[in-house]
Amino acid sequence: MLIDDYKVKENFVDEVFTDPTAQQFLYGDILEEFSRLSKEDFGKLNDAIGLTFLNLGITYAVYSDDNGGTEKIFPFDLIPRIIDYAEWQTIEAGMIQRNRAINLFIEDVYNDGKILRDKVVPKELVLSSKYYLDEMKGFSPPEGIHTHICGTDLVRHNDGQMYVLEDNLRNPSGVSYVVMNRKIMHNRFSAMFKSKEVLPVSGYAQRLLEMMKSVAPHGMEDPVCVLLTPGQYNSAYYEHTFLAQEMGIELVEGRDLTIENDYVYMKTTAGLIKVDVIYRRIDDLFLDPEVYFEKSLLGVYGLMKCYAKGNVTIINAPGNGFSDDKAVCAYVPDMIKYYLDEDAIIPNVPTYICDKPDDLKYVLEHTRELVVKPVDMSGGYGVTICDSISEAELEKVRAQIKMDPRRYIAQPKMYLSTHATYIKDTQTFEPRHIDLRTFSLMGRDMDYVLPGGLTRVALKKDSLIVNSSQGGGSKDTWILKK
Amino acid sequence: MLSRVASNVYWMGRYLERAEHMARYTKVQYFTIFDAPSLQDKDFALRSIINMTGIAYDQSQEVFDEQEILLKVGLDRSTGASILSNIFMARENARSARNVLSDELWEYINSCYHFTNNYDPQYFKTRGLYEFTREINDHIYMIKSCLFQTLLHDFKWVIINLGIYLERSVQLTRIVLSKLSDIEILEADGRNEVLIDYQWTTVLKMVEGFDIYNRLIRRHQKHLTPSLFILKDSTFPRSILYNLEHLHQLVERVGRWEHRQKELEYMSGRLASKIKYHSICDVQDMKKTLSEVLSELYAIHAEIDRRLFHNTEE
Repeated sequence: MLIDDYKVKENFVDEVFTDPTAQQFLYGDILEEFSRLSKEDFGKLNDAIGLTFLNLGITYAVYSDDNGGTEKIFPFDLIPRIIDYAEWQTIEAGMIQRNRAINLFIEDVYNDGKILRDKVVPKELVLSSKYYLDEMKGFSPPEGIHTHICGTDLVRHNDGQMYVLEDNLRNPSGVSYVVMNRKIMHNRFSAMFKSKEVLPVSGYAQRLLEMMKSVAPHGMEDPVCVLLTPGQYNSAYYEHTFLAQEMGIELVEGRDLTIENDYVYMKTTAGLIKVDVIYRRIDDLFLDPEVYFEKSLLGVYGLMKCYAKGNVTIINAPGNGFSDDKAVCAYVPDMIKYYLDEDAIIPNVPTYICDKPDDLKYVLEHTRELVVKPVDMSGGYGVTICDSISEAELEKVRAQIKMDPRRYIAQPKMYLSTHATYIKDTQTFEPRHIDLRTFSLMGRDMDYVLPGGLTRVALKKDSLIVNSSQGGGSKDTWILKK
Repeated sequence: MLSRVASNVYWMGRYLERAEHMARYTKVQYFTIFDAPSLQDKDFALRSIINMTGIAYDQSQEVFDEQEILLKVGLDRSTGASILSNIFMARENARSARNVLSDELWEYINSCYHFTNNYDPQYFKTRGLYEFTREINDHIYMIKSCLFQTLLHDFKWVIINLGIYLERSVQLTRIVLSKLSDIEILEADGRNEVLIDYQWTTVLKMVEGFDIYNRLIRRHQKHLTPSLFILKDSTFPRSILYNLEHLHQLVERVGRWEHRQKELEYMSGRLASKIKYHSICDVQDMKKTLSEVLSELYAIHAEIDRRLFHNTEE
């Protein structure tokens, strides 16, 4: 059968099999349901679901000159990841706490700079980040909110505890997969849901819209909100259309917008219509060719001027990037203490900041045991897991760090938990490493964490890198109440 | 509605309609080859396909490579003239307006694209033409059914249909014009009447009106000619008049949501009347009239583009 030869990896927590009591409570019904399916039936189901994703257009395409696009789906694994409601409540509180502290930190850095003066976070670390924007100095967005949408990545280590790996405060993506994965599971496995209380995820877009409206300029009542996309060739375009459609707002490109008298307008068949809130899915430096990359065709000329005058709200606020720098991220527990006078509910993965002399010394002496990451890259790029490389490669890593310590951090290797995952080649369930991306929203009088989030799974055997750009897939994630 | 999105859904309608007509035209015209009495007439049919679809093919060659021609019409990615390219463009336009379309409509357009894109060229050029063109037409019927049933019949719907009816009018006019040219050639060659009449049968099949027409003349309209039926029957959905009248009605509806487009209304109304009240005498006259219709349709397109999609730039 599918599960007969399943071997739990030594030294790792397996979400399904390590704790037999939890297994029965969380996964009992599902394992039973799957055990009724033959290998062939499961294979067919898996293929059919792949086709569903393809026809829905939940794909990313590599276009060639002759229009012969090959389209791929992001792999979806049918075995859901289940988190107990009690544990979720802790995670949820942890994410809200974290987002609040980070938001206060960004507001403080661009305004009073208290935390830097008090030397809780080193000033140089912040000011040397290429994502720190001078234009934001002395500016406070509506309601003082910078991190309207925060995507925080969590992993479960082999001590059973959840740790924060990193925060994404610019344009976290993946939320459409959470909603679509659930929709597809509902359609295919309706029986599984009948006797269970799984927290729903379908309300996300509604909450997102509420949040957007709550931070409109000058507290206006019924603002016009839009989603700004780089266009249909962006790899996350599906998500942009999905969110715009679910919220019932216009999906605009830079060329659809124009500026008059420091207000933003969109060009419609009925003439110009003023835009009040922009959820932009393009990076800071492409937002406004007047201020940043002058060759950017994605943004709107003069947008930052409108923003500075308070005539439009941009979500997330520009200039957040310095705060999801991996070296700055290491200070989040200190920020939580500083601003909220609380201890961090979910700890960080211990981080060595190569820019600190003591840390650098430790990293150079213990490189072999560590994972080295550039501070400013996402998508799993540039990450070196040092226990699996040659001596020569290791030397190269050391040399790189020595040359530019500010650019690197190092963390002990985290033993990411595993989860039973369907492997097409062998037609069986095998353990694969997973993480969890949570999505938090912050608006006026509003803190919201999407129940569950996106479980990402590294489909390559033994790989610890779960990013979709590196061969990762995703799972539906259930918060199980009973 | 965003001007760019309005323009994209309009073009989505046009490309879908164009792909549908190309598929039907090619299917019908290709299979007439087998009824042709001589080899020379086979090339005649292929030439007609080349001219109608606008693919690049050197017609001075002594022998036409049938498989190459079919492949260019069906699955050539490198030219905008193929059925695949038209469906690709319809889908790209739909994708850029994804959030204003219904899920169902998008899904049918998308799966039509995947069907076309994944079609095996080897099979297509040897045995697959009938099946391929049939399937394309079936897919597009599904898409149109979705269009009718899963969208609000609001401004956006009117814009999509403007694209569809304008393109259908263009394609029908071009089909008839292309057959009139064929008839002229045959007449100049002194070919027999039967073959010339057969060209009208082909047109009727291309617009899926062969059975309807036969029923009509058998029952009570004994003197109805195929040309009159295709041009002026206001109850036949693939007659030119039916489509021009429909186009005019759509133009009138635009005014319900946006400013009244008086110039556009005048142009589309005048064009429909031109066919309605025109008494057609012979092939020459018909050719001249239809060429004028075509020019006026292009002028209507230009006016739609200027008034509805670029009005904010004035």
